[in-house]
Amino acid sequence: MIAGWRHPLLVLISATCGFAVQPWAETRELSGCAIEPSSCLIQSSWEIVQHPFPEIRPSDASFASHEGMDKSIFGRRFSVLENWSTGRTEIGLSVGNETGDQVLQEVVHGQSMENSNPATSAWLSTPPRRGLHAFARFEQVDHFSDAWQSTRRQALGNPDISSPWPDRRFAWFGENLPPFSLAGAGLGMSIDRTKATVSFLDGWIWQHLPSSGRLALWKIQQIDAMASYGSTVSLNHRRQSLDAETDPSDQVLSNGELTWNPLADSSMAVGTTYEFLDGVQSTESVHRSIGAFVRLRVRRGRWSLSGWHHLEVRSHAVRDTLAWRDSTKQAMFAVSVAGGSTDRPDGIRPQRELAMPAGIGSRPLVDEQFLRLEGTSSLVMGPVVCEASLIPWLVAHPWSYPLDPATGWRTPVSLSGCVYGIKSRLAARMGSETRGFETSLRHESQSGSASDSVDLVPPRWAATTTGWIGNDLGLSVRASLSWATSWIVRTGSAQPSRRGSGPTGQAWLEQTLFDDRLRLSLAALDLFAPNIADLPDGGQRRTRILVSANWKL
Amino acid sequence: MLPAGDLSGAFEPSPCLRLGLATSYADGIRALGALSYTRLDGTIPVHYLVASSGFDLLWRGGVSTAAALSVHYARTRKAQTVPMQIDGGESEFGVETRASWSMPSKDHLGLRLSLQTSMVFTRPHPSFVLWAGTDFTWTTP
Repeated sequence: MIAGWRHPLLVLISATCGFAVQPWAETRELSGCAIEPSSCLIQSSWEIVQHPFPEIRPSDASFASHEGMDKSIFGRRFSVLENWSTGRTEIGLSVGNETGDQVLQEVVHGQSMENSNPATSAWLSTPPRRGLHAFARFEQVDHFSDAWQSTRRQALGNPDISSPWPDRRFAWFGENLPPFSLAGAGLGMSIDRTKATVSFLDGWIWQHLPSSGRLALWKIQQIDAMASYGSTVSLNHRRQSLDAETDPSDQVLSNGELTWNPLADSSMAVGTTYEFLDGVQSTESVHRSIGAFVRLRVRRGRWSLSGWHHLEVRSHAVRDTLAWRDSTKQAMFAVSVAGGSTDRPDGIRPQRELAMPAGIGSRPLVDEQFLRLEGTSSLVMGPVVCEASLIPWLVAHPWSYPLDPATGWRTPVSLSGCVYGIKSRLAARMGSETRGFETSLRHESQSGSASDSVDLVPPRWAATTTGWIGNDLGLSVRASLSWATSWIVRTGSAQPSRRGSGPTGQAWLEQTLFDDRLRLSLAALDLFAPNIADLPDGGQRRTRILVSANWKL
Repeated sequence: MLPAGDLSGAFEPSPCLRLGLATSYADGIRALGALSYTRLDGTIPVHYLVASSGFDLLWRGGVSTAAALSVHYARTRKAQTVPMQIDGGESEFGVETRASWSMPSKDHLGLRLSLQTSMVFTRPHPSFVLWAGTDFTWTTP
């Protein structure tokens, strides 16, 4: 088919589609750096710690698998909750200053600049011995400010936080009453086709509700157990307990997923889910829910179909993507169409994180429905690889996350009408893995009756140039320069955050030593940061530096 | 360790212990990493830890010059009456430059005299620290 492309043009008349395309999914993709990794608009501390050295290339979200159980806490993601099995046996440490948190709110105090957020993350994963391996992780964003310190102390009744016991200073490390401090460890077993892991997590999380000014400190304890037999059957069970240190509220969530892959190629999975929530919380009621799901990932020649259908007592979600792809040595062409309908916000957790919504289970009454087409093509022209993509999309009843003045929580609501738009991208790349550069131009338009109310209006134009170079001594450097037009984040706020057009810059440095066993890395992000907040009630966008050291075991 | 700039007067000069590791990287260049610890006395007694990593350029006559990136960590040794950021520990990035002269070694053991400057990216003003001392070195056979 494409073999007939003797003189292909870079003009792509394509229809395209990818995966989630809700307005917040737009935020997710920008936030998660999927569309243009070097020009992410909003990054939470989770994203920076989890992906300090992101891939240059946009990820293909078209066939992204369902993320499974929502492990976030109050809509926030933490590396320590998700990154137990990286597949690498290593010991590592990351330390960052100004890693900041554009999502995490800061108590306003005068005209002074916000304090920085030193971040510390450490992890260990041992090689298997007699089928057993161990893993552990620690993560803390240490955020000190006069305003925070006094307010948090008052909320706790002015305790003595110089105690050597973590339980009395509400952090594993230090005496700064940090926004979160989490640590966990676990054991894994692998014998023949049977695998099992169990992990335990313990820590503290502060939650600030901006409209009410309420500060809450939660003690979290979580047990996560997983067992599987080959790729046929797997069971994942989690029990999460949240106890409020500042008031009598508490909640215990038990949820899990039993999955069966009836086909040898794992192209289909069926299973059941369950969720039991007990306890007392201001915006949450006790609930019990069970459900069933089907996931598909089928490839037949040039065609592929992926999707998941999930039906629970309290919610449902359907997403499907049909794609066709062909390629030769010189060219690649792919088209896909995706559609979906859901009334549940999980599976799009980054959006929830940006919105800091109410607790588990809050969802709007009306389904959000989306349709997305996507056409992608790449063409080798001598030393240059050119790429083009075009993505028209439509969302009916898009969600927004306005503040509820009565409770101080953000609760998802459905907007009437629809929003639609077209995303397009042109890129050219040359070089190899060790040295080269890539430049791209992106355009996005957004219209529709709900376009004046949706939470994000992305930049209309953005351009990015990235270069990378490495040598035989294990040193590699990458730098990226972007420019984007203005954009808006509303999150239902009466005073939406507007950011003017301007440049962003990022740089990465990595050195491997001792036959690549030791890896030292440095990421300098947002080099031209304006020191202002991008989100309503969010933290300031500031230059961030993160260094990491990893030693392969 | 000699506090300089804004730190001068706030802290007294203190002895420092440094553990380092260097490996051959390229002709005339070594990659190095080091951990330094100092107990500082002065206005506020603190534990002071520095981790650094960089490159060392070897010149003739045993002279070498190094540049490194560093992470500085300080933490009070006693609780303060007024809550302070370094009560629970505070870290900051910095850069270091170092000039050293290695004396002729014997049986893989040697001595090296070093003079080092550190600039720490504290706000509102950067902090400066001078270091002078002797390293005992051991080279793998």
